[in-house]
Amino acid sequence: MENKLEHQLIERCRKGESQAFSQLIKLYRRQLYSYLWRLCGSRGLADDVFQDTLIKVWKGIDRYDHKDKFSSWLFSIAHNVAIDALRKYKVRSNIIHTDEIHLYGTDSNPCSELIGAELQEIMGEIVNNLPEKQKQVFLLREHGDMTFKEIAELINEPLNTVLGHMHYAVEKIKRALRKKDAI
Amino acid sequence: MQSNLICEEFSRNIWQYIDRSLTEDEMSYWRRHVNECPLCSARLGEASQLISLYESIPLIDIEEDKFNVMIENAVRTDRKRGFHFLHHAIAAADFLPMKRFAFGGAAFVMTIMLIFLLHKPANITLVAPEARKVTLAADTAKSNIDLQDKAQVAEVRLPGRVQTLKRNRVNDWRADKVAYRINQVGRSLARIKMMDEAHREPDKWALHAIALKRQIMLLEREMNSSPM
Repeated sequence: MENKLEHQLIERCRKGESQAFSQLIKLYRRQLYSYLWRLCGSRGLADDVFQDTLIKVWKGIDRYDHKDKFSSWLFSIAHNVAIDALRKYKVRSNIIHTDEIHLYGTDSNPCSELIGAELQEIMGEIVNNLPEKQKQVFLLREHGDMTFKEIAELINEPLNTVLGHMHYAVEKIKRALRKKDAI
Repeated sequence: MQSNLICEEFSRNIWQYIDRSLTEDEMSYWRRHVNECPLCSARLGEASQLISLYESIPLIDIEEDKFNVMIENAVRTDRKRGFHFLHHAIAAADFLPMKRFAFGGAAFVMTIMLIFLLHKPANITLVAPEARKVTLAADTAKSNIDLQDKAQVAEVRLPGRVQTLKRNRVNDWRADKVAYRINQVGRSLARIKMMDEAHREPDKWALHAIALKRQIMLLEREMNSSPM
């Protein structure tokens, strides 16, 4: 059902309908923005990368092949734009400030918001401190809904290496959470 | 020991197992193993718990106003619409197994056809008088070569260089070939003329004479195949 809607929106985008483009991006907006925020480590850069991603997606929508998953295509563009931007600005990921996240967090339950905020702070810090490749693989898998094979193709590394990155990323997160008594 | 190796293997496959991206046989094999092995079962539990924990964190969203502005900025950029028809054509040819090659081939054939359509078969008349003059001179040169009359061969005068297709003066393939042959004859003759008396060694002269005769023969053949 969602795929059908997505397909229709893509077709309308190809005809130049901006409304359809907005609706199409909204399907993945939160996932995409969260991913970029975590990968870039700063809100300003995440905004810039998000804007550039939208431009590239709009310009390249004609080249999108329906055989591929749209989300994978979208995240691969976002990933490449983010990596370029990170390289360009030489920004090392910083700890994400929770007060900023509070403003834009979308969970409406106050209790879960509190737990989420604490956890977000801890998790954000841990994920940001992961080595670059491990962070990329972890975030692409979690936010991009991509298979490891797709991730391997995107970051141009063998599948086993990608699985290794995921394994070490999770081990590091686990150890860090244990240290902070979060699990 | 063997069990440890299996567990190590599972730790390598754990993420594909969680993602269900292994084959059906592999999935059922590991399912059985996890049910029997407390270590792997715990490993799987921990990994799944961590992922659930991460996924329970609320996602971060961008402000609506900012998002709308970004969408407006994006749609304002020009899209390369010129190639639209090509994309549709390629998409329509999905049934072809090697559509890229097919389109490449089609584009090549179309280019060749276009060249022939735009080609103007006119200027053979420009080359024809030159060619006639050259064949007359070449006949003289040929008979002098046969008589081994080196001085007479050196006296033979050919008309100047004929412009070929590269200089855009001749735009006919046949005329271009004839012009090329005329120039080749001219070049061969020039080589003989450049050999002064003192250096007209019999072997070298004979070699150049053969080359000249060959060029004259090729020119005649070209002219016979191109009615002028």
